[in-house]
Amino acid sequence: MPFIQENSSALALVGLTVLFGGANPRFFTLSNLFNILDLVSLLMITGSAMSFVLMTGSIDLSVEGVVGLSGVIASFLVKNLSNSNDFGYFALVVCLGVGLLFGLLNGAIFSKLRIPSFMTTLGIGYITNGIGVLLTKGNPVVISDWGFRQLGVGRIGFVPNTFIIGSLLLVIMWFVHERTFFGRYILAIGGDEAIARDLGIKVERIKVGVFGLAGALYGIVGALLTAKLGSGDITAPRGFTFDSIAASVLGGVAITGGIGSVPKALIGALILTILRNGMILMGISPYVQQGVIGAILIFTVALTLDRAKIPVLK
Amino acid sequence: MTVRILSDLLLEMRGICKSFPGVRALDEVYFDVLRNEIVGLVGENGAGKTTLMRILCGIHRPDQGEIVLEGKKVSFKNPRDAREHGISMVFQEQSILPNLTVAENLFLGYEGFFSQRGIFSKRKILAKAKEILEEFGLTFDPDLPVHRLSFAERQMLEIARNIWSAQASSVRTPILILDEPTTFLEEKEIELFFAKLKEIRERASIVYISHRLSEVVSLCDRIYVLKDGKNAGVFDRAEASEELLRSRMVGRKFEGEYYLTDMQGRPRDEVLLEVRNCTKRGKFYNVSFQVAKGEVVSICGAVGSGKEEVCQMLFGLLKPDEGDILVEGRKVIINSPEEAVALGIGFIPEDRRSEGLVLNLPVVENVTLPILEGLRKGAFVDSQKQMEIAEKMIHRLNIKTPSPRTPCANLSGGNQQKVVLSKWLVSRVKVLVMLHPTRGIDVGAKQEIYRLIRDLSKQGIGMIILGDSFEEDIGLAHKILVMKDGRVQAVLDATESKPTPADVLQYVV
Amino acid sequence: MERTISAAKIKIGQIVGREKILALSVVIILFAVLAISNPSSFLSSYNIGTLLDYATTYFVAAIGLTFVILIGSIDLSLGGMLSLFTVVFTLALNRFGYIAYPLVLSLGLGCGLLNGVVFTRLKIPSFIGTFGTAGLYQSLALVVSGGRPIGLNIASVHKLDVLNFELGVLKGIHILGALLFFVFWVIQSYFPFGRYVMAVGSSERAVYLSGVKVNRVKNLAFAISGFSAACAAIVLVARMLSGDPTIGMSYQLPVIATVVVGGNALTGGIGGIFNTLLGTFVVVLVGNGLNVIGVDVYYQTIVTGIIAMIAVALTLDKSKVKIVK
Repeated sequence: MPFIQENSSALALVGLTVLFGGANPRFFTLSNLFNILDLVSLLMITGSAMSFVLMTGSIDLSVEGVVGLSGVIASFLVKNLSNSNDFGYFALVVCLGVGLLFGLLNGAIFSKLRIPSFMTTLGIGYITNGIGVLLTKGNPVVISDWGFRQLGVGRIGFVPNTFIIGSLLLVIMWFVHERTFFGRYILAIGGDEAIARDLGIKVERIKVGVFGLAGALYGIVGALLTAKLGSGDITAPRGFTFDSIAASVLGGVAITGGIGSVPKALIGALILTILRNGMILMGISPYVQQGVIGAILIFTVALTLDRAKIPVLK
Repeated sequence: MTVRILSDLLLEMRGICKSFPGVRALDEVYFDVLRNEIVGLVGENGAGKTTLMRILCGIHRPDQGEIVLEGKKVSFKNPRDAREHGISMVFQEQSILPNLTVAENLFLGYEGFFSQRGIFSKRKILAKAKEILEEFGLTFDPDLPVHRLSFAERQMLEIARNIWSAQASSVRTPILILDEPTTFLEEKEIELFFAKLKEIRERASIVYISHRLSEVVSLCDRIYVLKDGKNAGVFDRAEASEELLRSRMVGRKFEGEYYLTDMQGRPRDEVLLEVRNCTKRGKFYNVSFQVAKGEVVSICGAVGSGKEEVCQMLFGLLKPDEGDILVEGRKVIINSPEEAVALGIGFIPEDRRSEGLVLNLPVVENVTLPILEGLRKGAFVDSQKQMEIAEKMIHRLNIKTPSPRTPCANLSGGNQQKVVLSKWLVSRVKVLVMLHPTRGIDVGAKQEIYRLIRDLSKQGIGMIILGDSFEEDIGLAHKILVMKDGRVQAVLDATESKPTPADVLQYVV
Repeated sequence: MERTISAAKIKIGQIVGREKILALSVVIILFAVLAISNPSSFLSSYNIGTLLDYATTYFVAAIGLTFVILIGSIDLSLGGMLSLFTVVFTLALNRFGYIAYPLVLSLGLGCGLLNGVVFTRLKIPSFIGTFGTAGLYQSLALVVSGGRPIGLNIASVHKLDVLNFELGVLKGIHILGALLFFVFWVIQSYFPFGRYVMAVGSSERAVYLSGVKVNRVKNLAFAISGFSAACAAIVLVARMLSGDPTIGMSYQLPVIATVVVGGNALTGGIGGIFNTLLGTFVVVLVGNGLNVIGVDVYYQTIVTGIIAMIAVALTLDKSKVKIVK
């Protein structure tokens, strides 16, 4: 019984694969699998970033804004049709920096002003979105840097570049989580912040760091997204926040904090992507998908919520 | 007393004084700990044991007095500071993180010992964890998530962690404070536990706080008794006995007049509330009693007695596993405070500021809170009626407030409590459950509350009270229920002649 | 000492409604500054009309959200609801006529109740529960509309007459807004429900332990949130003459902004409908003012976001957030 409980998401993943594969053999074609890998690569990055935030017991609603803004900035920096910049891969570094900046801003406001994370990140998400709209005035900048675009659309063998980059980032995240102080303390803080504080853990610093890390990852995703689409569109990341949270929850990351890991985030991202992919193959409209996933999200949270942790429900 | 060699003295606490708003918790208390000993600390609820130890482990700071550790004066800024000096406390609400593994909990905050430049070697951690667990005779797998361990195992883990981290900070003899450690342990586990404690004594000193005198007498080398925040004796194991300790724990002059015993009437015959064989596993077992019209029933007990849980059950905050509750002869099931109130049961919680009142609302709103739905003129709140009711209550209970519109936060503790009381009178309650109704209230106000309790009794309202001291419980009650470790040990009658605190204490500990 | 200070603070707050005074002064100052510096553009009937249009839309949507925030929760499904309701209302007007009004209002109540039940029955914290239902509503909006805005039939336009009826600068929708303000302000101040909302937001445990049906209060607050979102959708359709399945997204934060800027604390128990009205005017005046001065429209969202955060920081009851989540 404990085995089933603890590995429920992995089992669900296997179950889903069998289900969809059985319903539609097209599921197992090489091109479909490539599709899945491609779709999951960005989600696994934002999903693990979100998992880190969720593990500390907070939430990050600024994903779309930060991803969008850094995507826009990337489009301005690489060779494009609107200005004479040609920074190439350096744009990735800048995007990481921009994401990091806003992430740290989230963390600072959250811990210094004690504004609940949903509000802080909602506000920052809105503001970054506004800046992105301001910069593009509604017209996405089209990029012409072929090399940069390869990051988003190219592949090695049948594995998409985005998946390779995503996997690399995931390995780094996994290492940080398992083998550094910072990574270990995240779960302690989410488990019981008062105890963690009592044991001398610098809670505020870690929380700020987590938001910063998440932001940096969103920044990279923004650049990759621009590479993929060929332009810096502020509206491109629509739905990313919802998906990142759904992926984390489906993978077994607790909304109340204290439980989670990078493998869980990965499994969750795979579950969500396969769900979507499977539904498309079954001919279910993408519009309906959002609703289905919303319902599954509520259902999963209701089942896995640790109610003892919530003295007064707000 | 046997002569002790000075170098054996590990810790001295001298002249410790500590006050909280409304109460002087510790008054010139002294407490010593020798090297490699188990020293017991006993006293009634509120005698100051927990406060003294909280000062020792860095949670509070003393108003006066000093702490001398290994010959050097120390002052702890916070628990972490105390930990670094080797002093830590293990409470009931454990400070272990169930979502992490054994090894992770063991080394939480001290991972520096296993890492280079911030990166760990998991292998090293698990190996060291296994080593330490073996030292303490613990056999569980260090990679196991803690939520899989039993309470006893977690407790041992926490003890192991505290001792290990003290020794890692180069402390020669750590001091481990255990606060009621056996409350949730089974018989077999307790024997094992004591054996382990004796082993631990070889490398540390232990302060053992417990209300179970039999355990204290058999385990401890020396025993301190606290009473009303002052020292009431230090005894060697050889001279200590349960009766001796009990006699030192109580012994205040019993001032019946203070509790207005002359105003105590007789309860009527009609039974308002009956609890029949109620059990809540882990909390209380087979509890039965009755409350008649106008009867005041006190429940006495130490930590873990289950008295708070019984009260919670009566207000729908806890569901019993077995047993029945009858209100006015009819069997009822109370699922929530809503239902309890509908049955005519009221509840005065321990923490009136956060649970008894909505502090920033005015007196008038708090007084009429439960009956607001019924106070209507059409769809609107009948403000006039509301005011009338509030003013009537202010007058009747003698609540000192500038106006009914004053926010309750501005009232003194005693008057706040009167507002809480008036809330229930307004809703025509039949049985009132009161948890520590006079806590944190000044002497004069306490008497007013006693007077009110006598009044309510005359009116036929049944009351269940958890008092702050045996004297209060005895003074107010018609009947005293004594509970220990979840069971009713005795039912003492207090209508005609009052039992003495010692009479009660013998059943409590 | 601490107790005396906090007692004094509460006393002043009680008498003067401190956060109301602040918000009111900001509104007056903003209005005055704008009127004096740009009388011709700011005070033109076109501009005042636009001001009132935005104010009405935001305010009506914010009414329900106010109740939810007063009990200390949050409703992140507002955007999704707005999208869904504008689409449903337009479609219903096109196909069924006047019955669209009660239809969308009931739908609003239903969605609100769903939010409430997810919160009180499934016990899912509101920030994640309403986040999930937002996805549901947004999805429904897309499904029902086929992903595209739905235009109102020429034939059906007259069914909005009562809303678009004009009297000088005032339109029917403005009157509706004022009416809703009055009704809900009375409910919040003089109905038992309103009192309970404030009490639950201040000290839920104490209210629970007094035997009050706290869950019912919470469900009702969320139901009102849905209802007012439906009203706001009606106003939007009256202005746009169409329903848009993606319109809700951009409203989520500004509406939260109007509630908090007016002085409603995110922690609950402080503020009220009047506060929200003031907050609406502040947000709308700032946006409008930026327009009038000639600042890029794109800056407005950024400024709104910043104002919202500042307002939350100022009004937060820090003693209630010992551990920030």
